[in-house]
Amino acid sequence: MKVFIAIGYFVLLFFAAICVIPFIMMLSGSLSNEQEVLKYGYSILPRQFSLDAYKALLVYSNQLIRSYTITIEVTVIGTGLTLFLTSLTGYVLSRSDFIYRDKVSFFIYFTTLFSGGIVPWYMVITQYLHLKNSFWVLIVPTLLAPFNIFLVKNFLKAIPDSLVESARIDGAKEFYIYWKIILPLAKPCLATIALFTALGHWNNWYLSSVFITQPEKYTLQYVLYNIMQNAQYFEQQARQSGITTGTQSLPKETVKLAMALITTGPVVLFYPFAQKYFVEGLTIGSVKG
Amino acid sequence: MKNLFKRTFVVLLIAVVTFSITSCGANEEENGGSDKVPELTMAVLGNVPSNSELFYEKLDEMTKRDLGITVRLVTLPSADVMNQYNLALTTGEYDMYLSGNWMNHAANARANAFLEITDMVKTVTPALYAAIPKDDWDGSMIDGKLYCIPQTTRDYSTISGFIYRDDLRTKYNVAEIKSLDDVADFLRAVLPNEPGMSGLIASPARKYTYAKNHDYVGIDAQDVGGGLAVYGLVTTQSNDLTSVVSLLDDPVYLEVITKMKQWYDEGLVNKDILSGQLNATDMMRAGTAAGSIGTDARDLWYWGQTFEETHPDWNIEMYMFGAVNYKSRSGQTSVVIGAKSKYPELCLKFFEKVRTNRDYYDLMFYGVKGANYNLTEAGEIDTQDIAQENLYTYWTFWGDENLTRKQANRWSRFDEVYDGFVLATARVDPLNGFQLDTSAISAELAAMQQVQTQYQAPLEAGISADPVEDLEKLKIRYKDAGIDKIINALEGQLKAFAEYRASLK
Repeated sequence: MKVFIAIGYFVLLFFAAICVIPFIMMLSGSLSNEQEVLKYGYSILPRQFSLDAYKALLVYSNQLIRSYTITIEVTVIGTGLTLFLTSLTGYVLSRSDFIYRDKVSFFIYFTTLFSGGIVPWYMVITQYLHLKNSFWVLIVPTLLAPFNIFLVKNFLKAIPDSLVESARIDGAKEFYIYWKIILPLAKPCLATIALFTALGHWNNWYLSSVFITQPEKYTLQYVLYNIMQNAQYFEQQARQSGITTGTQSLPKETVKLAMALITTGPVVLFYPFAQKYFVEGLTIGSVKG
Repeated sequence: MKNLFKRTFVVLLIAVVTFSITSCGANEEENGGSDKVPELTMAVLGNVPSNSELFYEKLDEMTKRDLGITVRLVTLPSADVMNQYNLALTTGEYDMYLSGNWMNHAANARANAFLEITDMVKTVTPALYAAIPKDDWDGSMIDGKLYCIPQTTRDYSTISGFIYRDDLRTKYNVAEIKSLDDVADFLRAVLPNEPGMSGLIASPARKYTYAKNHDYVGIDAQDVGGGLAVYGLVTTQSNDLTSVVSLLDDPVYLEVITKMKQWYDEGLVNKDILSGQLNATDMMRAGTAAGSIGTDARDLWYWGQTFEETHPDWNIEMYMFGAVNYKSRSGQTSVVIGAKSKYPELCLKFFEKVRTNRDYYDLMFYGVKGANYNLTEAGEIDTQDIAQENLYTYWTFWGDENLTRKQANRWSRFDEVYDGFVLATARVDPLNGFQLDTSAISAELAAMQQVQTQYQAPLEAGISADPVEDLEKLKIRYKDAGIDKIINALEGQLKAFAEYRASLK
């Protein structure tokens, strides 16, 4: 038994190391001197400790703080709204007394098979909804994903109708049933959706790049991406015309690593937070047997 | 229950229709009719400097006074630039766009994405028409029609070669580099003595272009554009520029790839040359490379300046392959008016201001004096004391040879190399004005690209067991990919171009 546990620990440690070591290398790389990284590659401990990469990013501190705020807002509001609307839709579709549920489900499903394509999508959002450069453009297009709706729908199907009926007999109204009885039961499913949605919002740069043209409204990922582009842009310009800007000696490789660390930020906390609900979901299943 | 649903649907439908009608109405009112100053938008590349409000303050003051308009620049993200550019063109979102041969100018113009300005430019903006040489206008025509205002500053990117650390060459007593064999001698002397130094490198973007450096193989050849020279497709200069040949059939090509194989086997070439992602500039700067192949003259002054700042004791030199040095073609970069713009004449007048008025040009090209750049007594641009986030980073494509200023902080040998050699030897490209139309051969070109990556790139990097056999294989693959159809199409277009040009005379 002890041997078994020891092997178990060893295997777990091994996989944990595979996950953690790249992260440590990223951290130490971002704290290293750029030339050393280019010369000898990445290492577990920083070579020639240097804060140059972070200093280079500090130039953009105002922009970074602003975009951090926007990204947090988008993630929190976006995830909250997504959860609310997705669970509401999924719940309605799971109710057997909703007679159009199959037709509506098909309507939602249909959009996963055929889409209008990027141009009509872009035109609807910019020319009809007038959302270009608005905060909501970062949230609205991703609010309702068919996959998530069906996830909720199928999860809630397992809840017996009699539960809803008895609540109604006790005098509960529809929204009360949804809010007080169905939602608490759907926690594991909602935690999954919340995790994916929050990560999606946090890492999203595409919506910013398509719909936001005012730099003060960029999300974090897009700001960082732009800083990187800036460096390349200067190089290109310099090559083109002999223009030099004094930026040639700025670190690039280590800045990338420092950026990756900055963007990781609070996201690492999402999973431990949501994990509680995953475990809960598993135990619910086991009791049901 | 059913009735309730029907009613709800009807109410919702009415709400949606009313909403869209009212919002459209609001939009029209916003754009036309009222006394508001029209705002022209222009898609550009680059990034927004953090003090852009100063730039707009100045620009608004000038454009309101002179033209009664305001102009706003919208930067397209460079990662996804082609998609977003096409998206903007399709929806007709902006009034003005950057364009150029490298942004599919000809294809977009033929698809009516841009406004044709052949006559308009002469009648509406005669000063603009007079400011740009006739050669440039003629060279920018597509099927006899004009769609763009070409940049007149030119790249000299056709001159390519091997850039190396000259301080290492003198340190190890190697003779001056004047041929490919000298390059090998240089690497042979340096590599064993400099630990950590990798062999021959090339930047990821330009590593597959040995054949494109046609002067390198010493052949009398002329690039036809469209990236076809990468596959070895060129025309010969000595004839009438209408027949296409493949460099791969030339005995010199076999000589070069055989030499490359020897180099690779000998360890003179970096083993990562095909897969490495590190930029040649970064490797050179870190001191892990002694020289880079497949570079062009622009790297020379960029690296020169970089090393002057970071490693003052280093010297770099360039061995230029051959002496053919063309100016880039007209319309390589340009600005255009969108086909759906509501203010075509105002756009044109704005372009005219930028290209004929020093104040406009300086503002659009370098930003606000004192905030984005300083001007030296000699009239040169100095950005040394400008904070990095305030550097003017819009890439607006106005380049005018007469108005562009020199940079104060340039490589100490820039004038000698650029003015003294590159500029002095630059010739007009004999195919200036030829716009390759790839629409009928796009499938074949995609197949060629695959073959190039899979078979030609390794061969040219020297990764081959038997160059003779592999070259034969490569030719067969290109035949299968449709090289004959491409040659046919190309010759047809070159003949049509020759006839068109003859008709102008």
